[in-house]
Formats: sequence, structure tokens, C-alpha cells
Amino acid sequence: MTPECSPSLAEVSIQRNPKELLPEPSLRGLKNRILQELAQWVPGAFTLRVLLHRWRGVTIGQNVHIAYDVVIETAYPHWVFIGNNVQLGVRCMILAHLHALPPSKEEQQRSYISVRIEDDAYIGPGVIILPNVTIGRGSVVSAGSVVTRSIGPMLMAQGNPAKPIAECGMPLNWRTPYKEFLSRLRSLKQ
Amino acid sequence: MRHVSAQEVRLLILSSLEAQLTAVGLTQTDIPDDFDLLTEGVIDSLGILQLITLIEEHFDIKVDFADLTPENLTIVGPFSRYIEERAPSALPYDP
Repeated sequence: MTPECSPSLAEVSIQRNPKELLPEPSLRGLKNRILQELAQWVPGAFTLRVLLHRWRGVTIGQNVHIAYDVVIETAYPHWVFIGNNVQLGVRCMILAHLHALPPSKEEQQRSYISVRIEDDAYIGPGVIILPNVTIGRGSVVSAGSVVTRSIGPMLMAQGNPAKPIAECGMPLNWRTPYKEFLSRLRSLKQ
Repeated sequence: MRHVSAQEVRLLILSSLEAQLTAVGLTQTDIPDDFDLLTEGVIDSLGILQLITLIEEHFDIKVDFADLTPENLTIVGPFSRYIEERAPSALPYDP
């Protein structure tokens, strides 16, 4: 390897202590994944699925709805924060890390949060949320969107990458009549 | 003061949605007054925003929807009549 070249991932793993590369103690990792698998299909969108993800280490508020087949960060579930009254649609995926390197100093801190979903947010079916983003209070992410950047409060975002397209006049939750929510949407001028 | 008839609004809405109507096997003449664009799969939430922007740009009005019954937001007849009622007092469209 010439000095100018950056080392490949394989080379890094050779240079470092292999234990350092483990994202978590293996027993905890196994527990995380078993609970994740269970949480994907067991009934109890407001109850059992939420409880299983809390056991994994995800911070989850009250009245959170987790639909079928949702994946919340396999290796570092404690890097995900979900506020109150949040809804996660079918097959959403929340990723709090993308690389296989050991966590940085900042990431090793107990309080580190990579993905923050604030109160009253609605995450539509099939949404992918990438690391280091905040989805603001009362925001809505449309089905199939990919969130690569933070989204402010009370906004509707759509697309890949997800971009705000409208202001929400009210949050969208299970108590909101859908047409009332739609009637209060205001298009953002592009 | 801008006069807009419900019939003009209806025509604008349906002509802008011609492709979507064709996709569900309908033509403009098939659409009854109580046709719900949302529940019939003709538009989605983004479509509603686009429709409102289209109406505001086309008629040069800024419509306040605060008094519209939410249920009527996506129903062709009541929505068109609401625009007709509000147009005379509406401000000019401000993009």
C-alpha cells in the first residue's frame, strides 16, 4: 500500500484488534437481533412491538405505533430516539449507522443519538431513514421516501431524497380525520 | 373582484386530471357532482396540493379554505362551488 492511498476496509480490519470491530458484545447483539425479528411480526403495534424495541435499547415515548415489519437499527438501537405519538408505517427502516468501523468518540457517548423522530411525526410505509437526521415535531414523511437530511417541524416531505413539499396545519395521527389533515396542508413554494 | 363559476372550476379540475381519470376508465362526462377524487384513487395528498395551486394560479386568486368542510375538499361539486363563493372576496394569487 502506498502512503497516499487510504486503507480499504479489509486492511483496516487487519490492522485493528478484531474485538474492537465488534459493534457490540456478541450476546447483546444476538439479543438485539432476536428481539428485532420478533418485533417485526408479533401483534401489538402500540404495545408488544414497542416493548420489544425498548428492550433492545431504542428510546420510545408514549402512544407510539409501530406497524408490521419495521426495522429499527440492528446494531445500535440506542442511537434511535422516538418521541410521543409517533407512527411508523409498514416496512419502514431506520438506520442509525452506515459503516462497519468502530464507533467514533462522539458515537461512543451514552447520550449519542443518530436518528431523532420528534413527537407527533408520521412516517409512511416503506420509508427509509438514514443516519444523523432529525424528523421534526408533527412532520409527515410520504410513503417510500428516503430521508437523508433533517426535516423541520410541521412539514410534509416526499421523495428520494425526501424534500419538504408542504406545511402541515396539524399533525397526522390516528385521531386525525385524514381529509381534515389534507385541508390544512399548504404547498411550499418551490 | 374576480368572478369564477363553479362550472369553470369543475372543467379545470377534470381537464387537469384527464390522464388519471382515463386510468380508472372514466371520462369527464362520467363524473357526478359527488365524485370523490381521493377515495376513487384519482388523486393523492400531493395531487390535492397541485390542484389547489393550479386553481389559484389559473384564476389568480388566493383561496382561504378555513371554512370548507374537510370532507368536501376532494369532492368535485362542493369543492367547485366553494371556489365560486370565495373567488369574489379572494386576494390575488401571490406565488
